[in-house]
Amino acid sequence: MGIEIRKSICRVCSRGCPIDVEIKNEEIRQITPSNPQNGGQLCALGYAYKEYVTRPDRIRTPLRRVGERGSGQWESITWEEAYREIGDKLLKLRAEYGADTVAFYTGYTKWYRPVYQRFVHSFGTLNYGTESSACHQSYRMASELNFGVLTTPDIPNSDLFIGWAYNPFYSGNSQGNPLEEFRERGGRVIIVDPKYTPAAKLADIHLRPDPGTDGALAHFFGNYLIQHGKTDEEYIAAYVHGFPEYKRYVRKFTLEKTAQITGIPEATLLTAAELIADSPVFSINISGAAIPHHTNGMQNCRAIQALLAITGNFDREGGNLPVEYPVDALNLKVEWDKFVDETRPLSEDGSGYQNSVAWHKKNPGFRAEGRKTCKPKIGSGRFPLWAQVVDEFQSMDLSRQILEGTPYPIRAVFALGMNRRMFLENEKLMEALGKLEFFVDVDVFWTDAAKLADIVLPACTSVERAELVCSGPTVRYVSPAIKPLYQSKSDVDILCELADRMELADPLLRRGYEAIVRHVMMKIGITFDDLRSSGAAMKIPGKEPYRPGKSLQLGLRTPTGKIELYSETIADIPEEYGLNPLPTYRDSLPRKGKNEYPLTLVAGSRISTRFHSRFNGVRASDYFRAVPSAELHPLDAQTLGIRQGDAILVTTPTGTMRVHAELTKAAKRGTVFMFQSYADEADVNRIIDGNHLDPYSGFPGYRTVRCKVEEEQAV
Amino acid sequence: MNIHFTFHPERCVGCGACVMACINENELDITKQLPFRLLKKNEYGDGDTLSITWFVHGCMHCREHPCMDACPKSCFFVDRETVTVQLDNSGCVGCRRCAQACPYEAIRQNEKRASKCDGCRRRLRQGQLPLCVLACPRQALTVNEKNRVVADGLRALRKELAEYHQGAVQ
Repeated sequence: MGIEIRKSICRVCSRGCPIDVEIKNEEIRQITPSNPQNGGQLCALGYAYKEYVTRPDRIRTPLRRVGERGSGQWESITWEEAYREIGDKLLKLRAEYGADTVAFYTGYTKWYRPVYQRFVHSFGTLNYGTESSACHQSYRMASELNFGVLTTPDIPNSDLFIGWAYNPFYSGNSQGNPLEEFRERGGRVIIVDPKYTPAAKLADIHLRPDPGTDGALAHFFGNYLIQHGKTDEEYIAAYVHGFPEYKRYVRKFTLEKTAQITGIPEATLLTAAELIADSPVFSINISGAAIPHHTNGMQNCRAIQALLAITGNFDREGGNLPVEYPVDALNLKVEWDKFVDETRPLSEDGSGYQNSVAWHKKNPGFRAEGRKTCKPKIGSGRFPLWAQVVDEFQSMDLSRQILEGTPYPIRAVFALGMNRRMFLENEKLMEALGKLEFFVDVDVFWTDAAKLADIVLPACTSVERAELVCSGPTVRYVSPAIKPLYQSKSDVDILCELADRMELADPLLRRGYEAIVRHVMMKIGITFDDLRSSGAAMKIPGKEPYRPGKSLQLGLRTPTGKIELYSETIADIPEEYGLNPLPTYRDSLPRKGKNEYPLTLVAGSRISTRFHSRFNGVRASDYFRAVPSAELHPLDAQTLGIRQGDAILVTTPTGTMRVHAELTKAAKRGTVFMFQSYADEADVNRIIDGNHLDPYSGFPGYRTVRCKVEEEQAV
Repeated sequence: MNIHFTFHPERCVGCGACVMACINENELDITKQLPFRLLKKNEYGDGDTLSITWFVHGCMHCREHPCMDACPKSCFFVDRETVTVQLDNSGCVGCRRCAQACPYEAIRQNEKRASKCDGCRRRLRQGQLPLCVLACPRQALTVNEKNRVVADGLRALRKELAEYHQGAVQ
C-alpha cells in the first residue's frame, strides 16, 4: 500500500490550520501543512500533532467506575450501556430537583460548543459553562460594553499599531504576523509587555509595565491626548457616551503617578505618548488572556479601548473595525446563534444575558412566549455583570456552589474535558467533584478530573471526525482522515446520540450532526452536498465588503447606541456590588504581603511548544522544557542565591510549588513567569487563592500574584 | 540538486517549529538522543538595551564537511543526487573526532555511535523540502541559497555559537 494524503485540520488551538495527513496502512505517517507552496504553515505544535493524536494515555472505551471514587477501578461498558446509565440518571435528577441541579461544563476546544449549548438548553437549563470563564470572554465583555461588538485592528491602514501583550510568534502561527511588512511601509509599532518577546524585538518602542497596570498606562495616554488636544471632538460629540466623566477621571493619571504605578520610566512614557499623539490613525490589539488575567483585567481592557474611542479610531479605516455588523444582512453567516436559541429556556427572575439590552438589539425577533423557565445560572449572584453580558455560567463559582449548595444545590456535573489545571486553588474543585452524586467526563486523554468520574467516555481528535469549519467569510466541511481510534467518538456524535437515547424534546439534535449542519447553513447559498464533496473552503457568496463607519451610523448594540465610556449596562448593576461604569483602574496585585512576598508571580505565560496541558507527555514538546521551570531575571536570582536550573520553591500565601529556575533577562525584574498546566507539585494555579477574581468578570487573576522564591534545600 | 543549509539569526524567533519537525520526521526518542537541530539563545544587554537572538544549529551540509576529513573510518560520504553530507554509522567506533571537527556542533551520539541529520533525504528525493526548513515560519532556516548568502548565514551562526559558549554575553 502506498502513501495517501488526506486533508484535515489541526485543532491544537481554535485556529484550525489546514493539514495534510499522510496515511500509510490506515495509520498516520506524518502531518504537514496543506499548500505549503502558497504559504500554508503550521506552528511548532502542529509538528507534534501526530504525537498528540496518538498519546499513549488516550481513553479507549466507555468506562464505569466500580471501586471507590478516584480508586482507578473501572469496567468497560458499551456505548449503549453508557448512554442508558447517563440518560436515566440525568432524567431522574431533573424529575426530582429540576434541570438546574445539573451543571454542564466544557473545557477546550470550542468547535462543538453550539451543539453542546443547544443540548443544555433542550435539557432545560442555562447551566452551561466553559473554560472561557478564564479566556477571551472578559476581553469580549469589555468590547461589548464599550462598542457592543468585538473589534479587529486594521493594521495595514494604520499609522501606528499598538500590540498590548501581542506576540503572534508564540501563539498562533507566526507567519501571519504583519509587523515587518507594516514597518517597511513606514508604520510604527509599540509593544506593551512586561516580558521581552520576538514581537518586542520588532517594535519601535517596547513598554514594560509591571503586570496588571495596563489600565493606568492607558489612562495616562488618554489624559495626555486630551491635554494636548489630540482627541477627535466631532467624533466624540456624535458617538461617545460619558466622555466628560472619563475626562475628569483620567486627569489623575499624571506622568509622575503613572511612572510610579507602572514601573516605566517617565522619559519612556513621554516618548510613547508623543508617538501616539503624532499618529492620528492607530489600531490596537489586546491579548484576550494576558490583559484580562488580573483582578482589574476587564476594566483594564476597557481603559485601553477608550483610546480608540477618544481619537475616533473605532469603526474607521486603519483603526479597529467591528467583526460583526448591526444589520444581519451585512453578516451572512452560518446560523449557529439562532440554532442555540431555538430551545433556550429563560431565567425565572429575569436575570441573565437573554434579558439584556444588547441581547434584544441582537435578537429583535426573539419570542419569549412558550419558553420554559429555569433558575439563574451558576455565579449569577456573585458576578452579575458577567451573568448579563456572557451567555455562560461563570465556572469560577462552580466549586463553591457545589460545596456550599447555595443558592441551590448542584448534584451532578456532565463535562466535556474537565481540566483541574485551569482552576485556582484547584484542590477545591477536586473536593467538589468528589462530593457530587453523579459526574460524567468526556475526554480524549486521562486527566485528574476524569479519574474522579462515575462514567468516562472517550472523545476523538480532529483528524478522526467530521467538522463544519467556519472561518471568516468561508466555510469548509472536513471529513475524517482516519477512523476514530479505539472506541472513541466525536463529541457531537456523543451529544446527539445521548440526546436521542434520552428522548429530549429536540428532534433536530436527535437526528445528528449532519442534519444540524444542513440546518445551520440553510441560508448561506452553498448546499451541504457541494460543500462536503468539495472538501475545500468555500466562500460564502454575496457577502459585501464592509465600509468602515457603517456601524456607528446605524447605531451600536449598546444601551445608548453609542460607544459607552460610561457603561449603562454596568450602571444598572445594583450598587452593593461596587462596580464602576467608568473604566476605572485599581491595582491587581494584592496590597497585603509585600514584605513577605516581594515578587510578582505571572501564571500562564505562554511558551511556543506547549498549549494548556495538551502536550503533557508528548515527547517532542517535553524536550523543550524537560522539567517545569519558572523564569526569573538573573539579577533577582543572584540576590536569592539561585543559579540556572536550580530546584526552587515558589511560595504564595496559598501554597508552594516545586519547579526549576530558568534564568532569562526576558523576565522583568521582580516578576516570575510560569507556564500553567504542569501536573502536581508544579501546577502553578494550585497555589493561587481561589477568590483572587475580577469582580466584574469573575476572571482569575492568574498574572498578579504575590510570591517569594527560594532555593530548595537539599534534604 | 545541490542542497546546502544556511541560517539567518535575525529572522529566528525561537519558536522551535524546526526542532519539533525534526523530532517528528525522524521519530527520535528524545529520552535517548538529542534532536538533529538544537535551539539556543544569546541575551545581549539588559533592560532598555536587551536584545535576544535565537538560533538553531545542526548539520548545514556544508561544502567543507570537516567531519568527513576527521573520520578515521570513512563513515561519511556526499550523496551524489542531493549533495548532502551523509553518515553511515555502521562502522563508527565512537571516537568523536567528527563531532570535535564540526563548527556547527551537529554530530550527536546515539548508543555510542555518531548520528546526525541526513537532510531529510527521503523528502528531498520526493521533491519536498527538508521538514525543518518547511516548518520554519520565518524562513530563518533555508536551503538552495546563493553561495554568498550561505556563507554569510553560516558565519553568523558560528558567531552566535561562539558567543553562546562564552557564557552570559553582556
